[in-house]
Amino acid sequence: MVFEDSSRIDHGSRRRIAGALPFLVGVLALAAGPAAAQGTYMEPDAFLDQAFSGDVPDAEAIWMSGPAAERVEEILGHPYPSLRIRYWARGGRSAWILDEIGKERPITTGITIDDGRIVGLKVLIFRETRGWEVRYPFFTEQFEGAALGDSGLLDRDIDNITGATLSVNAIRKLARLALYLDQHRLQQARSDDGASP
Amino acid sequence: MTARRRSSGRNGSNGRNGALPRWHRWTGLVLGLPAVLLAVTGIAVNHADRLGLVERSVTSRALLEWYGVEPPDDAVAFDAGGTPVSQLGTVTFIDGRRLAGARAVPFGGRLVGAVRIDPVTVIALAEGLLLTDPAGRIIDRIPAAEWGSGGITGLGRTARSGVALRLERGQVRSDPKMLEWHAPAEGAADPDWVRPVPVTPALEQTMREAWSAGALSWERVMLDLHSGRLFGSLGPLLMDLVALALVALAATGAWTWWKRRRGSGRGGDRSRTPAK
Repeated sequence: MVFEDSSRIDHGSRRRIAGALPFLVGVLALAAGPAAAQGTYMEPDAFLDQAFSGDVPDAEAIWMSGPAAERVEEILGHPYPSLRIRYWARGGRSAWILDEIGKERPITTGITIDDGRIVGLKVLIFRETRGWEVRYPFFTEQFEGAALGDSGLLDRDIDNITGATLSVNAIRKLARLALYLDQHRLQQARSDDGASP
Repeated sequence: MTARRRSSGRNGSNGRNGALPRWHRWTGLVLGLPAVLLAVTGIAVNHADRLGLVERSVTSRALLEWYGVEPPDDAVAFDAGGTPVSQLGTVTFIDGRRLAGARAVPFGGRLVGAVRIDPVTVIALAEGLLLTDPAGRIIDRIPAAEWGSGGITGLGRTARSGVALRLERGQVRSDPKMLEWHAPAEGAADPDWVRPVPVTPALEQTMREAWSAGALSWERVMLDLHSGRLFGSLGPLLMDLVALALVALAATGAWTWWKRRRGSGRGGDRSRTPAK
């Protein structure tokens, strides 16, 4: 509407408007960025299809009680928000859909583990207003091949992203959590095998 | 005129009784309260997390009314084995209590239904399914996205003690453990779809009170006090004036000090000495 009759705008005003345009575009981009960054990047069923090449096994569950719950609390810094954690597994391969709050809202992440090492990590649903850079492969690919070290930490350093520290921390925790849960389910399976006649 | 007359003498703009120092003193006096308000609320906002202002809700009815916080009028309830599961706005309640741990639930939406499959209470929201134990703790959270067929539009109980979900595009049914979900077998009997029950006045009152208690955080109040928005549309302008006046105070204070110091350096201004 302002530009309907451009003849009414003098030369100086035009220059000022032209000078302010890059700034306005920048402000609009910053304002639109977070809103555009929130969303579903991969549906959980599509993640599971990818993890098991379309042949998804039946879901199983680990219950958060006893030492497992304590270890999970150590890793996250708080109890897991549900009493059971579902997972999908076949042999040494398992897939986990876990979420953790970065600052205010949960970040849903799909993690595939094979023989105790992460073979794929994908941010499925991002709901925070900042820190969305963690969904990019330059960040998630750092986890490929990662395993739990003797200290229970990841066996490699994961580079931080400036301005996305809380989201990065949340994903690091989820990677450790998935690796621990994978160890736990294998231990459970071994003890079940040992107990059966 | 008075200011111009006084500016020529020792007690002019450079002196203790000049127009500038007088303006400085009076403005300082008037700004005392707003300056304290700005400082206190600024510190509170900076440390809102540590002070618990983010989680702490305003319960003062007067303040809630000032904000115009009014619970929505869209209460819905379902009977889950004798326990009412209800919703007001986007807040879900079990037996009149807010759902614990709701912040960590990665989905929301309208309450579609609730059913008890002992000992689990199954709560269907449009965007996902919540399973809770008798104590109201969340057992599991299953986003509707896992079925890839749109949101949940209906909840039912199957003849095999499982759960049936009507989705925007199709249906899924679970085993009694609610771990496995499959499309219904061809010719399978229709599930018993749950229907809402009337919301009792007592439940509605409880929900409205609980809704109001969680509607406004103290962090919001501190932010609005700091920016002046709590005082209406002119509030921010008033706070802008306060801020500008504080800047002017700093400038006039520094200017007066410098002028006096310069005067003192020339060996002149005895008027700086306090009167006895």
